[in-house]
Amino acid sequence: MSPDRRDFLKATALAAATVAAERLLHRDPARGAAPFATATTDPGKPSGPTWDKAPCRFCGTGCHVKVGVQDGRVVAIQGDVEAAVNKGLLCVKGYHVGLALYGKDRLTTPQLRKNGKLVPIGWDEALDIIAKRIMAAPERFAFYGSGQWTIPEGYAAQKMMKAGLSNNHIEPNARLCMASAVTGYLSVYGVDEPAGCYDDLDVADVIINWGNNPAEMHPVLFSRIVDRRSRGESVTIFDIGTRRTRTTEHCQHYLAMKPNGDLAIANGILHLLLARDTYDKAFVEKYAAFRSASEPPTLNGKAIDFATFKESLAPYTPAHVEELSGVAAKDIELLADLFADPKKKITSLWCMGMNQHTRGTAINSLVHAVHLLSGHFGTPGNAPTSLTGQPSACGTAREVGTFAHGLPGGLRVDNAEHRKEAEEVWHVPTGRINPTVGLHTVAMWESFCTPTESGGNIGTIWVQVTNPGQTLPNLNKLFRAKEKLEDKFLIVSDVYPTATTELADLVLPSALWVEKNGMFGNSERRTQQWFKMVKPPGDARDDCWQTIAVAHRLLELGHPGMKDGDGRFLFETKDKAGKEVPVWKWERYYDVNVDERLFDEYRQFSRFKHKDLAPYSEYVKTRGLRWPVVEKDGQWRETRWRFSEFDDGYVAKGKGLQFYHSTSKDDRAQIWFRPWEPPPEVPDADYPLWLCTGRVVEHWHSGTMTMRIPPLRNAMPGAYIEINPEDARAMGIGNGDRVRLESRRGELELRAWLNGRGVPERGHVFVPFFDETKLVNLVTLEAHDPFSKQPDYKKCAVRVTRVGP
Amino acid sequence: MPVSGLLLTIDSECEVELRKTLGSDARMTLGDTLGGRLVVVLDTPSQSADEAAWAWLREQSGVSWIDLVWISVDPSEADVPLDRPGRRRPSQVGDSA
Repeated sequence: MSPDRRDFLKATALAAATVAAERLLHRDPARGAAPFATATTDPGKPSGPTWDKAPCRFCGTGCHVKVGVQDGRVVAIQGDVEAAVNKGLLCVKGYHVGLALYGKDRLTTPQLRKNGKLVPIGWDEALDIIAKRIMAAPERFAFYGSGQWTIPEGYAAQKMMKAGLSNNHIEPNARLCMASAVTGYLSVYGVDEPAGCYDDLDVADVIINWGNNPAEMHPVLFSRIVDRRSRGESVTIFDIGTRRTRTTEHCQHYLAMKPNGDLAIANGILHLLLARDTYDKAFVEKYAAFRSASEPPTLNGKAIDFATFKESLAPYTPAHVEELSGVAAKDIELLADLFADPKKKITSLWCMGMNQHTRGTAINSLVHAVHLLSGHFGTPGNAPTSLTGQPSACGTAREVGTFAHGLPGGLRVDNAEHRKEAEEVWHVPTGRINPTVGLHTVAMWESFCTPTESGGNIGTIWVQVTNPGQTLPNLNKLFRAKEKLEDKFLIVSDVYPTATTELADLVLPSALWVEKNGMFGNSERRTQQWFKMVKPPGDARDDCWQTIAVAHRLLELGHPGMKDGDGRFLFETKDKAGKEVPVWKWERYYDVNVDERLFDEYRQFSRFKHKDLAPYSEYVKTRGLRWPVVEKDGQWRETRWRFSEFDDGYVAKGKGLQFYHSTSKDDRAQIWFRPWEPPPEVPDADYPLWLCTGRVVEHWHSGTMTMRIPPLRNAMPGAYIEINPEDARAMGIGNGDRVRLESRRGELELRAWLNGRGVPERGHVFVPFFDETKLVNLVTLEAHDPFSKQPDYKKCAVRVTRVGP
Repeated sequence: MPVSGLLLTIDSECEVELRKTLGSDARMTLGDTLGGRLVVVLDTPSQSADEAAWAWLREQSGVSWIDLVWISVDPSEADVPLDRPGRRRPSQVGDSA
């Protein structure tokens, strides 16, 4: 690189960082709730960019950005200083999010595979192919989306499947990332999603990261925590994990554990709280009940009494927990001491480490149990809070309920009363909703990849906004086996070519982020809205439109499910004058705000489980509102702490705390006993190492977008394998050497990185999954949690051998 | 050869000493301090050196957090152990704008 070029880059870096610092300096947090005036220009620069608000496209933090648009292109991104989530700050992905739209290989036209090659076709032909394929065998069709579906997109897909096709084979990729958090909340509180919110991070004395690396995965949130130290505040941070990461550097305590050691650690804390009589007796007496596994196992288990609970935990002495977890007994005692102190405000944070776990439901419920037994719950700073990896894993997957068992608003297909309620909202005939739970993600793809004659009943899958060809576990079995099955048909809507489009039979080009209207819901129950700002390229179109257009083709083909109880199209949309708008025609789709119509229909569901959403128009004015959003005196008020009388309007006066969806029907939360169990696959003589997979700060998930952003791709251009330096030395592997990583399921070659970004414990290796040219999921295991059905990407047995320099 | 634009959240009492330490390091160019955030440009010869510089910065007394807000790496100069982006599907994985 020439010196001039280098000087230019340094000047650019200096300017960018100075601008970011200035924006943070001039923010006024008190204005966070101010109404947002959309589409403004800079004062004195009427010919400059037009600025509008949007949540960032990437992770589940829910940072707001200001998007600068000029001449039909996104030309600038700023952190939104008035956004309560990020207060003007963004991570390196967020600052570059606008570039995600402009990779040169954007998909711009539908393509059909003919003689092994994808060839361009028109939208009419594409829609006909899909509709006829579904019509021929509706029960063999499955829809696979994600936590990147906007809320209206997910709702439309959900409605087409369950209210239209009477088919429950719909899943989000969120099954792979936070399903265990859901079953954890359901089994403890009877209703999903965190009780606390990000405000807890501003006041907690102690933050415990359970298998979590927020410094890379949720950097803006982690910055919010460590920033407090620069203001002279004291915050103690724990990192419990199997690998030193950038998070570890900021923690006073790093507790290196064996895989599944988290189960033992949590039980060890519970044991000490009981053995030392330091649990919160008043809290437990008023607000908690006890549970353990039933036979046969069910999500709600069976009630047990306090004595049985205490007795069950007796074996989990510090010495025994040290043996099971590898964490020193003194550190278990330290954690128990902190939880025993009612003056300490403690927040637990977790993400994939606890969720991608064959005992995911168990460890989730145990962390809740630690907070409940110690009374560290329900006041600012005291919360067990899961973080999500996708921008609308909560808003779409969990709240719209785009799972094989789900209906919007926390309802279920296998509950007759819930089906009745949903059929009323959807105005479809009684019995339209199929009562049988559909196939969960692993089962769905296994069925798709199994020959029809061998019982592989799923014949067609439509994938939207996700990349299962890279992210499913055990890819040879659950994805690549499709290649040999000629009667199976894979439809993929996406914005770029991916490992999934590689095997697709039909590819549909989609609009991305601010090329369409949208709504997301972040990790803290915050629902966010944005408007379309630029046109999608070529013939790319909204995913929501694609779903509605296919539904209308099915109507034209005579599918009875595409009509409601009055014989009207399921997605009938009228303008303000009451005249029907044919939104299934692309040229008419934006004649009305389809998102608004769908959202205002969907929000009727939100009241069933006290997850109340405000009208769409309220979200236009804000940078998000946290549900339940309750109207009082004409004002819509959000809720920061659920179940707490001081903030949650649904808690009866005088109750203090009220778990109003309690599974024991007595307003109590459930404190679970869940024993330690070994992982499903452990290293042996043939495969002597543990493999953990995960992400890096530069890339988001499978890299479909961030690998098209030059600064991010160049900063982290390919996957690597982290090996403990002592292990590497013993294996004769040096930094940068090429090595082969093998499991019983597959293999790949990678470069070794020693003492790099992270350092695994001895006996462990780590590989990130963002790189489509190095598919680590060829190696991973599809074993999954029995309740959440979420696979374990964090531990399986592998071997590593040096291939060469 | 990465060039990064960083914001270091610092303890104001340590600013003078930090400026002295960081300012004498050839890898760093210092900008203003605004609202407790020190603007730093980090210029290193390799990605491994970049990681090492981050680790060193994090260890400095008074630095509580580092935000990365801008980054440039010349792909032709990225060092091992990271492979170049693969070209398994050359007709589909195009260069970015």
